[in-house]
Amino acid sequence: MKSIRYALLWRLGGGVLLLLVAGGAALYAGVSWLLVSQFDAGLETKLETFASLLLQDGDEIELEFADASMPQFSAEIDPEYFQIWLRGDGDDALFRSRSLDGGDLPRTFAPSGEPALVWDLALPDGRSGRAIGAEVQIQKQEWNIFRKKPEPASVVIVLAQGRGPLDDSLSALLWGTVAGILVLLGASVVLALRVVNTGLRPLDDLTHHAAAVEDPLRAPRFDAENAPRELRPVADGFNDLLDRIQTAFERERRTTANIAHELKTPVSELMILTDVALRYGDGAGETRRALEQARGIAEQMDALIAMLLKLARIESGRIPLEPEPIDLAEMVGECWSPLSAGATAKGQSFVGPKPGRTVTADRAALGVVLTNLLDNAVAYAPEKSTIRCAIESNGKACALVVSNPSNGLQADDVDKLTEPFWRASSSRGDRDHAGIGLALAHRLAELLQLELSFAAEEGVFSARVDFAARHLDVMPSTTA
Amino acid sequence: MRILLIEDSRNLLDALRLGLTKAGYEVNTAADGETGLRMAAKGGYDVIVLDLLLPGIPGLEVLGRLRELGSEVHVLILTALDAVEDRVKGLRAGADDYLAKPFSFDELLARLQALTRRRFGKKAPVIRVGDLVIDTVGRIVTRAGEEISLTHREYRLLEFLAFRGGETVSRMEIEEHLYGLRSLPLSNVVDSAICSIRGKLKRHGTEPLIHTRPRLGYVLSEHAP
Repeated sequence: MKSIRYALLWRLGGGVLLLLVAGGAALYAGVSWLLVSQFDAGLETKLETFASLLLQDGDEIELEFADASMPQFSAEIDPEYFQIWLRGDGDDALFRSRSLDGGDLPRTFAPSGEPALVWDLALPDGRSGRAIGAEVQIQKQEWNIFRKKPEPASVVIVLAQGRGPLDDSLSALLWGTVAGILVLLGASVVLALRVVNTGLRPLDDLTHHAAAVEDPLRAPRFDAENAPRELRPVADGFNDLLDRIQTAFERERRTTANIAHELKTPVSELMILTDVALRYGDGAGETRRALEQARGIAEQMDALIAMLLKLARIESGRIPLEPEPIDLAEMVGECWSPLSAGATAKGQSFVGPKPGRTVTADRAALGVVLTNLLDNAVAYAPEKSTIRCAIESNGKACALVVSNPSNGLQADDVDKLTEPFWRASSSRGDRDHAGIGLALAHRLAELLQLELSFAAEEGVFSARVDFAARHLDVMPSTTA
Repeated sequence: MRILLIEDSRNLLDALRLGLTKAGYEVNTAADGETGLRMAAKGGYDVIVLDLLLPGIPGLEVLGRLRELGSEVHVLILTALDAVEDRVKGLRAGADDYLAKPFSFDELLARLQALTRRRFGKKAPVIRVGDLVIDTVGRIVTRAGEEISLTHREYRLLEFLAFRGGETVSRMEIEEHLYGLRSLPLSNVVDSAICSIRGKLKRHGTEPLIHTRPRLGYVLSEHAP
């Protein structure tokens, strides 16, 4: 599983390790170069010292050297070495240190005028050493008025000494650098852990907050105001999701309670009817009446279940839609026709829309939507009131509005109208309507991509179906 | 015993009215909250059976307004709302009992009988007056161990006198209890029912149990007042 924490730690750790290794290597290289340079400078100083100790007296060349002054060249343990040759005079040495014990150093040198040549070598006693070799001109000559000044002779001086102290220093430097890298790496990991954990704490808080949500209805919202800027969209999204879940849960709960109520009432009716018939029924007439009532209740329950199944089918989206041009006013007339008798019985009048507007939609589905809206108006508008159906059009879109006196419907109730089986207080007891018509109309309108909205203002209830521009053109046949 | 049923389901209302009438209750009905409140406010009911989800005025508001008017009538809430919070809300609003739908008629009857006993301060379902025993649950009356056959109205009259436990009960109270305010009968109907009950009681025991208090009413007691 991917982990931001581990990814950050790996990358930070890798980066720090790379930097430390590169830094350590650079440090080691720099310091070791400095140490070797200092070591070589010491050799060069000694070489210059030896050059200054040479004296040319005619053809004779003398070395003003005494073992006591530089005892390291005659020491028994870890001695240093020197050897001096006359330039161009074969391999015979003019001078050599006592430590060489008659042996020779390699006659390697830089020509006169060039920097002295320094190199590593194996010393005569087997130790690893470092040597310097250069061709120098003798500076001091002995001469007087009887003897003319001789031409300065060139000699080759080679000095060598063990590099043990240098190697020890380089080794200490190497291990010190490695140890430093490791210590810094460890400290960096600890620091990185703290930094990453601190940096990810708001994310952890959000994660724990989300994980602790057991009941979305009672879950507290995440404090998005105090969240880091990067997390605020996530926190806001999380809170919005909780709000939507809560709304959906509450809607579902209300629907379930409404369905339960719708079913409990006929079940109670059946139970009491049969209880009373069994307990007190003392004649065929009473029993028959009870049975007829029971059948009527069963038919109501069957109709209720059929409506529920229809709603479920619509919500599953498996209703085939075949869009076709429909004259809106003509369709309103068709839908109103079977309802007109009921409206007349209640003394209600109907004002229909003006003809002329054609829309493209599935005829059957749109018919169900309009029939339910009109049926709702007939059922809940007061007696002797007027039900109006009008088409509002602006050329690019149009809307069909069904309005009637609201009969006590509150503005707060409007949002619940499309919940299955929800009933306004004033419509309780109405067994002819299950309270599902507007829910069906709403779902079908969604399938038809129509916008169905309701309003209850100033004593007038209105249902509005908005047709977008696409409904004014011929649509291809689809299945939702 | 007079009961007011306030229920919006027409089928349930009809079935309950039939069953409770057969069980010997005087039953009035209302199909919405407003009518129910108006009838209940007039008084004269021993128990009100009240639905909560009513058209017009909701059941809880009906109950609240009744209590505000000072009504002490026993109220049994009969509703599809069966959540604990609904029950608590109903009982706290002043209901005496709560029965969730669906329910059995026997249970409703038993609860109504219990409420009736509570109305008269009785807890035991069996009332004894001398050798007369009245089982208010089974609605069986025996004297000296012998069962006495009574009509519904005779039973309700005897039970009413027994509930009043030795108190003098006026003719007016008996008329109101048995026939309700809307169907006030002639006053000799009570006397005639008392006479009939006395006759049936006498067949199984010699001591008179129903005593007449001139111009005051009747007393059911082992001893003459």
